[in-house]
Amino acid sequence: MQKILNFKESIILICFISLMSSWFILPDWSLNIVCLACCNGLVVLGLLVLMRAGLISFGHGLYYCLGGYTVAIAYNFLNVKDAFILLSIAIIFGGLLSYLLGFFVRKFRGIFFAMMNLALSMILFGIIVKSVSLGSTDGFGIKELTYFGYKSSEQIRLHIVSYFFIISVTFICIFLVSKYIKSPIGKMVLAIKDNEIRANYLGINVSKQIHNIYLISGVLASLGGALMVILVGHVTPEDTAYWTKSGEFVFVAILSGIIHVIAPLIGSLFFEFIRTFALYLFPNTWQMTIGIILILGIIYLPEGIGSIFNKIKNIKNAFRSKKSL
Amino acid sequence: MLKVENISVSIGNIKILSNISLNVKKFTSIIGRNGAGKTTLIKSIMKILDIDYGNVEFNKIKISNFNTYAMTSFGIGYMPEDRRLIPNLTVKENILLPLWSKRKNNENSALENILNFIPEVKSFLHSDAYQLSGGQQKLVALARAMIVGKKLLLLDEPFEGVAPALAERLVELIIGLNKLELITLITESDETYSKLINADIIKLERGRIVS
Repeated sequence: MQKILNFKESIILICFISLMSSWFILPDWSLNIVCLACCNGLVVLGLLVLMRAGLISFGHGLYYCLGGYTVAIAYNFLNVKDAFILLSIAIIFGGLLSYLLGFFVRKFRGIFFAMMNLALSMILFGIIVKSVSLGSTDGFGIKELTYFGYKSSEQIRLHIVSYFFIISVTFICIFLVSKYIKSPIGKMVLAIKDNEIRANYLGINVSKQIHNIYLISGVLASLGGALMVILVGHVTPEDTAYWTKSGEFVFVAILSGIIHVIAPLIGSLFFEFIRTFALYLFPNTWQMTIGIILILGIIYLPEGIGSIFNKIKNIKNAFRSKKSL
Repeated sequence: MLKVENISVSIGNIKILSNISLNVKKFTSIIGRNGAGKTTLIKSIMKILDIDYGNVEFNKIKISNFNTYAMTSFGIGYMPEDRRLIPNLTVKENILLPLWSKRKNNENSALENILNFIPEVKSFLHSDAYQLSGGQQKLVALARAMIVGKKLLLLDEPFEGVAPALAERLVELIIGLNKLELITLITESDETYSKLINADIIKLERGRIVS
C-alpha cells in the first residue's frame, strides 16, 4: 500500500494539529507568543529557501516591514478590513518589490548579498522614519478585523478565529515550501549551492533560479510581517526594518538549519519563549542567555534543530531493520 | 559539425590558447600534456571561460554568443575531468538534473535509454551520489552528460584516474557512442585509449595545435 504521507509531511501534520488544539490548553499570555513565533517563522522559512542556495540575507526585515506597512496602510487609507484581502495585498506588494530588487541583488553572493539586503532594509527604515504620514518612529496601527466576513472582537484571550487563521496560513506556507523543496526546481537549487559553474553547464540558469528563490523568500517575509500586524495591531519601523530585527531572523535561521521545513517554526517558538522567560528572569542579561543558547546550538546541533528529525528517522530505520532481521 | 575558428583564451594575464582552429565532424581526440590547454579548450567551447577573440560554431549556430546554460538546449553534453556530482542528490536525480532545467517531460524514456546503454548504473540508481566510488561516479557523470548531449559530447579526460578495468569498459562505451552518430570530443594526455577508439587525433602543445 502506498503511504499517503511521508515522514516529513506527517511531522508537519502532527505539528499543525498540536498547535491548533493548544488554543484550548495554553494560557492567555502564551497564545500571542505562539502566533508571533508563526509570523517570525515565516520570515525564517524565507531565509531557509535562500540558505538552500548558500545565500543569507541580513536584511529580510525589509519585507517583514513592507508586509506590515502594506496591511496598516490598506487598513487605514483604503479602508480594507478583511484579513484575507489584507494578506493578499501584502503578498502582491512583497512579491512586486522582491521581484524588482531581485534583478539587482541576484548578481551578488556571500557576504555581499547579505550586506546589500541589509543596506536596502536600512533605506526603507530611513524612508519610514522620515514619513510623518506613516507615523514616523511611532508607526501606526489597525483595529478590529473581519475574517472572511466574520468579525472577531477584541478580548484578553486571543480570539480562536485569529489564532486559527494565523496558524493555518503559516502551515499552508510550510506545506507549499516542502512541496517546492521536493520538486525538481527545488532540487536544482542544491546544485547551485554546491557549484555554480557546474549548475551552469548542466543547463541551469543560475541568475534566474536565484531570482526565483529571492522572490519566494520576499513573499514569505512580507506575509510574516502582514500576519504580525494582524496579530499585534501595530507596526513600527524599529521593530521591523531595523537591522537588529533582521539579525534576529538570521539568528533563528542558523538555530533552525535547512534540513526540515518545520524547523524555522520550531526555532521561532523556541526563541520567542526563551526570550520571554529570559526577560522575565534576568531582565538585564537576557541577551547573554540567548547568546549561550546559540553557542550550545552550534556545538551540539551544527545542522540546526531540523537535524533532530533526521536522528529520529535514523533510529526508526535502525529499529525497523533490526526487526526484519 | 563543431567548428572552432581561430580562438584565443587567457586566464588572468596568461594566454592559454592562441589561434586555435579545428573542425570536429566525428570522433576526435585532443592529445596534450598537462598544461597544454585541453581543459581550457573544452571550457571555452562550453563558454565556461570567456574567449578573447575568435568564435565557436555548432551546426551553423554561433554558440560562443550564448551563455553556458544554453548549451544543453543545443544538445551539447559536458563531462568535466573531476566528475562533480551533486553529493546530496541521488544518482537518478543527478542524471535527470539537466532535463529538469529544460522542463522536458520525457524523463523516463530518456533515463531508460541511458540505462540500457550503461546498465551498471541501474544497481546504484537510488543511492546518494556521495556514497559512490570514483569509478561509479565517472559512469554517472557520463550518463549525465549523455542525457542532454544528443548531438555533441565533450568528455574531458574520461580515462584519467580510473582503474584499467573501468578504462576498458569506458572504451567500450565510447566506441558504442560512435554508433549513436554523436559527435564526440575527448581529451587525453597520451594516445593510448584514443587509438583504441579509433579517433581523429589533434595534438596540442603549449596552447597551439601542432598536428
